[in-house]
Amino acid sequence: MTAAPATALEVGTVVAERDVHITRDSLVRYAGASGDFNPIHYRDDVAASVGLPGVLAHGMLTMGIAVQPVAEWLGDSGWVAGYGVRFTRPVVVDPEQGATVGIVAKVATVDEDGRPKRIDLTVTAAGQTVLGKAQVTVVFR
Amino acid sequence: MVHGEQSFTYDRPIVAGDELTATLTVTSVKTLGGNAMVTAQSTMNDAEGEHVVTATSTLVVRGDDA
Repeated sequence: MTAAPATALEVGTVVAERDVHITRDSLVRYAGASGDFNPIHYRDDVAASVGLPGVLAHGMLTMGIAVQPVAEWLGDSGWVAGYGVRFTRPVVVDPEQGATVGIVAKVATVDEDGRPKRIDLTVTAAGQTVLGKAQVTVVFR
Repeated sequence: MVHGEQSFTYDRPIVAGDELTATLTVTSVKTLGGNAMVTAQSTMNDAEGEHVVTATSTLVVRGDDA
């Protein structure tokens, strides 16, 4: 991680990078926390019956995991003022192996003082991008 | 039904003790290749009525033949 986020940074600088491993347990916990008990997120038979390649992670879980490294990089020096994603590909969570979500956060735009304004996320699973237009607007205190 | 897009726009961070009231509005319904794209906006205001965050969700509802 690049320290001191309030300083000027070049567009393209990687500010955070992380691999997060999730399992079926993670999906059950997220279902309980969010109230989204759609069985495609925990039952292989139901996922298969609707033509899915397997049990999928909740999109909002992937979205939340993906922004966490940015929030930690900001720490107390700033906050997330905007965050948006497109759910372009599902994250298939294998019953034994789980899934690994890879996150790379890069500076996309800077303010007049050269401080990051928008951070773009590249989020992958099984070698493919799973979120499109994943953009985080940050505000420094 | 699948979640197509999601975004959040904050005027300020949410803090412990906040009392927020959400108002959900369906802002658009479009048909695209036999699927319906439903966009809903949830506007959340604090106890003073000040805007805190707007969440916008696009859900893709699959058509019978899709």
